[in-house]
Amino acid sequence: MRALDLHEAMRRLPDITGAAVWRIGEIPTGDLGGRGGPVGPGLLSASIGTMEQAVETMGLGQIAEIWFVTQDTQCLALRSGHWQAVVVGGLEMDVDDIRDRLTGLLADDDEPGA
Amino acid sequence: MRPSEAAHLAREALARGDSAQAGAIAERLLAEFASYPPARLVRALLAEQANDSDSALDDLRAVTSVEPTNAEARAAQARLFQRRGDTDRARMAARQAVELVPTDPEVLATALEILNVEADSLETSAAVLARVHLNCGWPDLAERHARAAVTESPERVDVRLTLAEALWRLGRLPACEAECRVVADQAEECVRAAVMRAHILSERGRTAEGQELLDRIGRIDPEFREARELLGTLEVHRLVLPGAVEVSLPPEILRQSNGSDNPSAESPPAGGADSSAAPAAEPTPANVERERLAEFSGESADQTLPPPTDRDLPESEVSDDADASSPSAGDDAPVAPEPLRRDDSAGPQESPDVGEPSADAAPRTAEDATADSVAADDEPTAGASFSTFDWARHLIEQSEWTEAVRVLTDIVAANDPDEARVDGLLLEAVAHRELRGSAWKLLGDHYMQTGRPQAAADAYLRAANVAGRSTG
Repeated sequence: MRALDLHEAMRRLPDITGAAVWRIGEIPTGDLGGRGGPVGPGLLSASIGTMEQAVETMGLGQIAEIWFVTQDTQCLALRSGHWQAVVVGGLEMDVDDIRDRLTGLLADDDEPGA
Repeated sequence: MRPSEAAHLAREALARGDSAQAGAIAERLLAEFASYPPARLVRALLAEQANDSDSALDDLRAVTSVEPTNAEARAAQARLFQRRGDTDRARMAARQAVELVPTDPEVLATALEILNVEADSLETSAAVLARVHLNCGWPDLAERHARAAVTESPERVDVRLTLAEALWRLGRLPACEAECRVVADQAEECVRAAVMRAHILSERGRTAEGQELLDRIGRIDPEFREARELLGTLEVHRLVLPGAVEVSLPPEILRQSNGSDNPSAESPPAGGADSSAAPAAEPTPANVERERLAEFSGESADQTLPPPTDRDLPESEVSDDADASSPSAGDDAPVAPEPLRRDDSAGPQESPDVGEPSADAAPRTAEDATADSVAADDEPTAGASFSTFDWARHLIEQSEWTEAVRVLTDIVAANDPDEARVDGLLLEAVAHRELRGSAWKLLGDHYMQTGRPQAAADAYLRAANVAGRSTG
């Protein structure tokens, strides 16, 4: 599956308002529901990538998942194999459920040559 | 042809064992730019092959004076010292090479072999951490480790330079200047330190002095790669980056490099015209006329905002970006937007005639703009050597912003393995206000592709800021 297809699938997850997905070494694909404009998905992805790099540099290992919440948004970033994905949603988003679904989506696609 | 492209040809020739050609290109480059590090490095490697270690070490010393953080040169020094049986110096140079965090696996392998260690068993020194943090875009952490590294090895000029750059990135200019002075004491031709000093001078209102210093760098780094890289990280500065100087190689070398017998593949058909122009090329970018042209042609050569200070050319007002994007004086052949390019002294001597616009033969001077704009349509197809990169530059020079963005997008999508080349092109593009938002976004995409998320985040932020500014 290509990033575009994966993005489509992610957008169908419940209560998701934005999503971006990318493989290591590729440009993030997606949208954040209009937030941040065309730069939004890249900026969020790169920022998460930066945090990953910092954590790795400090010898704390590789981040598998990041979740944060603001006054009106939740954001979940996951890594699965060579895929990385970020989804954002409102406070009503069930993060546990989304995590499971998203992990499934990415894992299904994490096949050699995908 | 740009000097870096010629140097690349020399490296290719060296790699395939064609020492004669590699040497010829290197000498040709050094005839114009006596300290040009890539050419000196090629010459050093050739001397190494010929077992002339004295000459090789001389050239390598010159390279490391200009570029103290050149890991390949350090690794070559290590090899030569080891060959001479000078184990201590070999290990020291090899350690320096490793601590410069080389991206070339061969350089790393050479250094590790001399140190006789596996990569995994290398201890992480303060110098490495400083370098890594600087590369990651964390100057505060870089500074902390660089200070520790300087304490451990005060004689190491590369470490001093890392510290200076960290301070520069943190905006601590007086401290940076002090470190740059120390660097210059040991490596007087150090380009990176000179760029930072030029910027510091300009920030103190001594823009003319800073500009003069920057111009002098062109004798060593004719494409101003380091200056572009450093100044490209700034939102605003007052320096004008002169345009790229070009060199002409003899047709026979180009033919050999192309692996073709077709003499028209690279070289101008008027043979002598180009080669006769070359010796007259003034390698020094400190050229008043050219500066005037740079000002006149808008900010094409300027990394960011045109300097409002001590450049008293009225044209600079006239030719600001907004004007550059639209034809001046109602003409459809833009004259002013023809941007800064190689030295004027060489330009008029080149044959601007018959359309055989190789990559090197892109329009030369403002006065040729009309003829060139006609020839431009043929350029992508006329020569096989006209690369996408050249095409993008040409479009930018012609102020064809929409098409330029399209081509730049294609270049990023193609994910060229030569990261630095793409970096350079996009950093050139962000210097143009019309392209800035798109180019920063593309630079972010490119950084993501090449595993540099910190730099990507910065680029995306800049793109977002540009978008915010243009909408707000």
